[in-house]
Amino acid sequence: MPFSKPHGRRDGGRPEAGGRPGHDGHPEPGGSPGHDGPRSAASPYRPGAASPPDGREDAGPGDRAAARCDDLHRRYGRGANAVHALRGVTIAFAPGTFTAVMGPSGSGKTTLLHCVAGMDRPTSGTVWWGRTEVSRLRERRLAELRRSEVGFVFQSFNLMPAMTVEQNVTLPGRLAGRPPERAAVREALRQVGLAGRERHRPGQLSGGQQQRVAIARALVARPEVVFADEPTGALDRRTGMEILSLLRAGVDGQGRTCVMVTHDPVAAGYADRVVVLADGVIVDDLDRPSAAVVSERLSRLGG
Amino acid sequence: MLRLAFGQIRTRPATFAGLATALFMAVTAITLFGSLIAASVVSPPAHGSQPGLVVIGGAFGEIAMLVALFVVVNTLGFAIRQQHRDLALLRTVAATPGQVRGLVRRQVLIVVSLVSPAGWAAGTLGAHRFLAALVARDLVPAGSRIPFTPVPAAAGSVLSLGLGTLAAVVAARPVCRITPAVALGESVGGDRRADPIRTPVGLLALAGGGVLCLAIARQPPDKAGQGALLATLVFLVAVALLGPLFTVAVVTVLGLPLRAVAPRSGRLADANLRGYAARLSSAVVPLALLTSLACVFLSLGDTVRDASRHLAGTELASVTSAADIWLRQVELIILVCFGGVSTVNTLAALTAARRREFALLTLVGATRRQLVSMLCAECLLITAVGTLTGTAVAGATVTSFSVTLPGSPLPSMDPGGYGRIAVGVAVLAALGILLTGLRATSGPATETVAGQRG
Repeated sequence: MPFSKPHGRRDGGRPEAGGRPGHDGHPEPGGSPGHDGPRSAASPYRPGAASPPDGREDAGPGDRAAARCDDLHRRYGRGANAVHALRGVTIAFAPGTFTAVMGPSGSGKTTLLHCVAGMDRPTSGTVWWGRTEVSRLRERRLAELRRSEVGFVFQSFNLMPAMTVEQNVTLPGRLAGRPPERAAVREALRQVGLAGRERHRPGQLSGGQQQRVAIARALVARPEVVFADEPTGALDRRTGMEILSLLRAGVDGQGRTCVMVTHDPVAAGYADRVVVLADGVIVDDLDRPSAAVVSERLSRLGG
Repeated sequence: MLRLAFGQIRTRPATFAGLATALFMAVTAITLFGSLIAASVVSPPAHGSQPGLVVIGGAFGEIAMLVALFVVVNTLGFAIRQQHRDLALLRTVAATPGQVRGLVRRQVLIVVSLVSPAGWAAGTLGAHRFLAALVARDLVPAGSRIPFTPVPAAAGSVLSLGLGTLAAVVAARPVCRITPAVALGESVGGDRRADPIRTPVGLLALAGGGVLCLAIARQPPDKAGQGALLATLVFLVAVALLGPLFTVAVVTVLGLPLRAVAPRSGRLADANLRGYAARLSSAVVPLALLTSLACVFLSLGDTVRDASRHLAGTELASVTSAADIWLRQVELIILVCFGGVSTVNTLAALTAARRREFALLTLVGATRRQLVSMLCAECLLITAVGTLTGTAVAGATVTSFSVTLPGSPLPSMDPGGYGRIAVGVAVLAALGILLTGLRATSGPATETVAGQRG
């Protein structure tokens, strides 16, 4: 099974934060050898450029980011009962990087992930995937784009209980009217170590195996970005590490971008960058911190 | 998609039982009244005072279709609520709202196909017996017969499918309106009060019912009777849409003094009542439907009879013939069948959805006896509120009918008949709540709490 070690990172591609709060310089995006996505070719980054040469689209800081958001606010409810989950978050995720989003409960981590993944609507602010602004898209168009651009892994797996492993993995493709080839499905399942389990149902699998099915489902369409919301939260440590290695392998091997919400400083150790949220704003943006540093920052927030 | 729709039905048949019954009755009713209309083509023409097959079939069919739409929306709504998690999950793997609606439409298609043969058989059988009874009461010409034609049966299935498709748009709205993340975050069905169009549409229905009542008052009595039924349905739509808002408003007003006297515990009680308000109003709607339809029918007959006693020898004598009262009773039986299905289905679905809540209460120390007595109390409360709401709606529409009669009598109703309605409603409510409650409170609580489904 293709599990890499937690710190077995690629040497090239030192990513840096794009558009962090109070940082008005233009970040140097991570050079990503091996990442040959269409966006990096189509949109060469130009420091200080107000707009790209053709002038068609916005080219702010982080234009080359796989995904980014600007001044994101999300409020639930109205009036006195309103909850401000996000209060102005600006962040960019460079292609081919692995970011961990951390913070105490209720800090807005999951809301940020949902908004950037197109699964929730910000109250204000914009979300971009590459050069497409998705926060204004209609629900139908957004869902269609999400199928090809974004994969999502949940803490509670969220597999369709009545479907087999194979049917679960092919579901997004079938919804798109382009069911993945059998060979692609078999390959995706082999990559997550579940070859030969095509006909099982989720109820017949362990938690770790179900999460691997969810990862195969997220990866089979070869999305640019994979979002994971506490993917190891319901798993024991060993199984959790296997899941993290799978996500890491996707970043190292296929140049994929991964954004993961986690509570666990050890899980965050698999990431290139750790962003800490508190009360709906980014309070820390750390480049390859040690687990000890992460724990210390989190405990300072009372998380 | 068709396979997905079929898979959902196969893995959770109980979810679709209410919908299947409602659609079966829709196919049956349309086949029955369609057959009567078809019979008019091959039967001798009606003479003199006979209303004729087209009039009877048309009037019955019209009301049956409207009530069927109401009940199909209701049962499909619960079928969707019970699949809420699966549908939300589909949205997170990037199914468009249109695809979710398409899935629901396919489920309706499958259910209609499954129940159609039985509905055709029951409808055809019912049409033969109904026609024989009509001939026996000299309401249609002797020698009337039902032709052998597939048209009424086909119309039964096609129109039922149409009703279901219409219902799918309404019923799928809660899961399609919100974003996938929010949909997944809500356990069942979510907060329907939050839908921005709910209150305006409810107010519109309320206003529409009021306008209908005014219009009825200017019609001749026979048209007014039919109009009163329509107005009753429109008012019930308003009750269904505004119910949660109304209940919350009442609870808020009641909660004010409570909070003033005991800030902390009063607030807790208030929160509980508010949480209960949405559920209470969903449970009340079918009971109000049943009560109001039954009351309108009985009261129309009683009011006319009273009026005719005072004005013997007027044209009303023909309206109040025994045959006419019999016709109204048949119509009542049909509508009570729809209302009964809606009631039992709604209450059973609401109670079954609380399995997890019951299990949690057991874990913190509630005995099964306590749970059952809690359900009994709720059952009484729901029956009382439902019966009162239904009576109020019926009162409004029958009053507007009664002013069309000569002498504008007050609406009247046989107390024995009203008592039977109330008892019938209470029995149906108890069936729905207590039988499901007994099942939902059995079994090991820890498993239920640990399981993903509530």
